[in-house]
Amino acid sequence: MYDIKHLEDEWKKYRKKKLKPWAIGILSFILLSLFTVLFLMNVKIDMGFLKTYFDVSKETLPFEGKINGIQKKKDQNSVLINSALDRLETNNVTNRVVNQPLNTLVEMDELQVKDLAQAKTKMHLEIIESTSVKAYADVEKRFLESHDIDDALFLARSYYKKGAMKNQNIGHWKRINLMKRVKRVYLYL
Amino acid sequence: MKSRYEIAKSVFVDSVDIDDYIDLNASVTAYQQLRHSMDKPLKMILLFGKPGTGKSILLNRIQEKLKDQKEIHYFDTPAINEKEFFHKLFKILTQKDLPSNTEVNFSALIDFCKNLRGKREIIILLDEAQMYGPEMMEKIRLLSDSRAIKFVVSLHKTDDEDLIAKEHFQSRIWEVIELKNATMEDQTAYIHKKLLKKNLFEIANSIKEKNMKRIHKYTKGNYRECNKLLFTIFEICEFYDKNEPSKVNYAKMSDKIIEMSALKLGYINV
Repeated sequence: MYDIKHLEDEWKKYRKKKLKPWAIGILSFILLSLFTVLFLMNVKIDMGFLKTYFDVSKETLPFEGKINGIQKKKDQNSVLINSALDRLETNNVTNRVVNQPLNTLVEMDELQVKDLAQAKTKMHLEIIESTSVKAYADVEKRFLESHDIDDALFLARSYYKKGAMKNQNIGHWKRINLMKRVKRVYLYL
Repeated sequence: MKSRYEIAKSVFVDSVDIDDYIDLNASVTAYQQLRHSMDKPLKMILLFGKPGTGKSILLNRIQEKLKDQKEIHYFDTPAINEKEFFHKLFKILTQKDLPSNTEVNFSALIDFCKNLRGKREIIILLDEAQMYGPEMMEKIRLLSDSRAIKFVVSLHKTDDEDLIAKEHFQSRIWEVIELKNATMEDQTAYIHKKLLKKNLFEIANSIKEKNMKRIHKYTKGNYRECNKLLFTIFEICEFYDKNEPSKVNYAKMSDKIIEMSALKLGYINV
């Protein structure tokens, strides 16, 4: 008689192999049925994670240019990065606005203007940090040459603080306008 | 005491024993067709089919049935060489042994056959004819042309049948009988009849229709393969019966044992 144990082991392996497709089929059927039942019962499933996934995926699609215009096709790498950034920024801002209660909206605006002002006077921030008189003199000199409005604003703010408005070497209407802006800026400070 | 499966196993030992012949629809039809063809004034009859379709047992049976009515001879195994074949043929025709160290003169043999025409009607059943070479087959054809000897040539349905298909040969074969693999019904009847012939009623009943379908699927209706599979099945049953009786269901043949047998014989693989 041959090795019956070996034959039994072989049969077990064969059985497993034979039942595998059935097991997969039954499992798929159960999952499908479960989803169908859930949808029929109107159970809300948070699919947010999928949305984020697909949004990001869309950015990386090679034929994305077709949707957003021919211009994007020209430089795909930069488009991809910029678009991704745009989307991230948009998402953040939207979330912040939507999630904040109404009474905090003013604070939000203030923060945004503050950020904006900081962004515009980016070059001057270094000067503000330094307290040396030479720095003010440099800005004053540059203002006389360029009549840059930001420099004017900076100088006006500093003069206003010092109570030395009379020293402002600018035109009357410009000064009035500047004063308005100074006041407006002060409101946000 | 002998296990019941031991007897069942012996039923399916592959042999061409006339006592093992089972009358089935297909085999009865083939038998009648062959019997009818042999009564016609034909020179050659071709019986062909895949190995294990029952060609040999059919020839055996026809020889057994007609041996008292006709001069019929069955060449079960092909002759090793031409010399041996003509020695056998000489003995049949002359009813004498060829003296030792002598050879048959083929032309003389043809003349002898021509003289026999109308006096005797000799039927030669040639089994496994695909093993004869082309030269040998040409000589058989010439002998059949003498009209004294009628040949029933049985061969496998393989590439060798090209030889028979040759134009000059085909024109002499007047009747072609093809044996096909058994249908599910025929195979079921074959298994049941074989077991019942040995009074193994319980075992015959334990093989259900579902089991029969499985057996037919693995053997594709081939009788030889069917014998092999059932022999292995009963061998495994015999082992379990003797060593682990809890693993045998006496009322119903288990699929596990059939699959194990099929694995052993290579019908299925892991």
